[in-house]
Amino acid sequence: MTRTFPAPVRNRRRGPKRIAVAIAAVATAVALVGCSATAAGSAKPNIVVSYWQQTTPLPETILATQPSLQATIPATLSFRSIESGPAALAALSSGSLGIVGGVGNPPVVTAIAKNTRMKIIWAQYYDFAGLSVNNSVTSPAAMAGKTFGTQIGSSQDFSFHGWLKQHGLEGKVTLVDMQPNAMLAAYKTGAIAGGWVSEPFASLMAADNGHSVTTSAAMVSSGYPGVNAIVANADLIKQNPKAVQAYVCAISKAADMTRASGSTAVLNKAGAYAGGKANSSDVIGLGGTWPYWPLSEQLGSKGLGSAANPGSGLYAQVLYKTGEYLKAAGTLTAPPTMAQISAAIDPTFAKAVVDGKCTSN
Amino acid sequence: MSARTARDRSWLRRPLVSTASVAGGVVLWWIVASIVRDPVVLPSPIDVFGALVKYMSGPYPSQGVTLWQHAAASLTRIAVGFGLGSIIGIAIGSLMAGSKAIRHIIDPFIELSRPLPPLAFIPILIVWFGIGEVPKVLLILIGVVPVMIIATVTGLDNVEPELIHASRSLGGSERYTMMHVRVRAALPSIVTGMRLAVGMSWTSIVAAEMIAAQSGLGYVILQAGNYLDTSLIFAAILVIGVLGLLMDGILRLVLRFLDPAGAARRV
Repeated sequence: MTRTFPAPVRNRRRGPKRIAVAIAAVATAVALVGCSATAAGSAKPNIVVSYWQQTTPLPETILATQPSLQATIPATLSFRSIESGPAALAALSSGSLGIVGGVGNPPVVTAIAKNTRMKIIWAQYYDFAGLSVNNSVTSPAAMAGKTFGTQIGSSQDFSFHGWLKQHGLEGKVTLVDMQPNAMLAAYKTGAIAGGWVSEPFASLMAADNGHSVTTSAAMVSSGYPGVNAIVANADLIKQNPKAVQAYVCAISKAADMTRASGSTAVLNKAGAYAGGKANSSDVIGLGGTWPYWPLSEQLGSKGLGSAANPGSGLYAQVLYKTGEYLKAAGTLTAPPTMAQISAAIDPTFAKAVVDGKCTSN
Repeated sequence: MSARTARDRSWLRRPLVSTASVAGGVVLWWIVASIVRDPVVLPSPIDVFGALVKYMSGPYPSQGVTLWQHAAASLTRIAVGFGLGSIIGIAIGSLMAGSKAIRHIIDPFIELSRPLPPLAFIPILIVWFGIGEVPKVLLILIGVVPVMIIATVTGLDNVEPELIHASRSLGGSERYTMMHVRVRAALPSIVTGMRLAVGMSWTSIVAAEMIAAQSGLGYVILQAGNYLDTSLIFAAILVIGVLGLLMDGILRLVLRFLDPAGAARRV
């Protein structure tokens, strides 16, 4: 039996209805474009800034908790926590972070080698870290055959390898990759004999049947320092140079606030923001003694070099040495040349701060 | 067309379509990578293949081992964690299916632990078990056990009552009925749970190898990530994918062996 189907009936009401929907869609689209254009014209730029997820009150968390400081920056700041330099620079590369602070030499060198669009704009601080071991380790030679923690890929790891090389211990100790809190747990249970780690973990380990062998500060003179800088997305600098300059000024001011009168309240607030305990003397002590890069050494041979020759500065030379170390370790096959490193450093923002050209908006 | 001819063509069609699909995916990947032109953001298939060849024969990092050896290390951890986890999960699931009291006691702990991410356990496992292989294997086991318990309980609960009644009425004891009728009938569900658990194990391997590992594919991914070596990350992921596929294939064969009638229905 063949089936026949009735002829389709046109719904005469659909025509005008479709036209009305189309007009409404176009009007909505036009309205949205108009609104966003208006918003772009009048709003301050939004800059996403990172801060370290640790209890130490560093300049970024001071900035986050001091509205008067934020008001000096012609931008709206939003803060995102980070736990790793490489991950933060990957986020910078993708544009989800605009400015990253406290990034160590290995991740910066890697980012330069991978042509990340970024500029180093401020030499922020040296590592506040050190090698802490248990009391069974009575000399460097006694470390042979034992297991120690390190954070592979970090500036502390670079310093640790430098120290091992200087003491003829390369290849004679077992190094295991651990985050600081895991390193402390492993140390307390005796799974490792010590480790090179940032404060406050280094002090906590030393206080638990252990002692400090050396610190990152000592590695500055021996050629393997951990150096940390502020890095900004290159497109952000191009679009908002005044905001980036104001940010650098504010960060410098934030570091000064940790030593000035009233610093306890400032450090308390910032430490709480970063997850620390309220009114903790440890938090305040750490924040007040953090090894910030001296303003007098920000430029020149002890800092970022000069605008004409960033390669003449200590920072660029440390980065170059770090690249060579990573190449020998087999983790970075093509480290950046000194020319590439120099091109990634922009000392002009630091120069404005050193020359006293920071103004309040 | 006879039923056998239709089945034969289906057999041939599936691998052809799958291979064509993978090849198409690789071509699309190559096209997108050519447009992006940034190996950190998206390496091309050639970059990834190059990293695979380089590290299959050379160590990563320079004091480390080859990708084969990293794969063997991860596979060993997964085999032990998955194997033990499956045994424990099937045993607990069987007990729960056999006794309502046991089910009511254990069920809340399963539901509480299932959503927990493996990363959350790392500090506790280090404190309790140190930094050797035990915490790594345990991290994998923690992910496998709840999956296997649920698959076993579900499989045993869904056995047709007629089969159980038939066994009991023909003189089978409760234990005999459980082992030879219920468990046998539940095997497809249990093996399906194992296939899910294998995937879970590979997902957990990166977290497991954050515990002071010096080898393993998860370790390679973590280290390569530190240095934005995306080609090597993709290469390690590819190796994980292939190994996962192989393990799943083995489980499918096991299922076919244990349940040939069901295998015929599933083709």
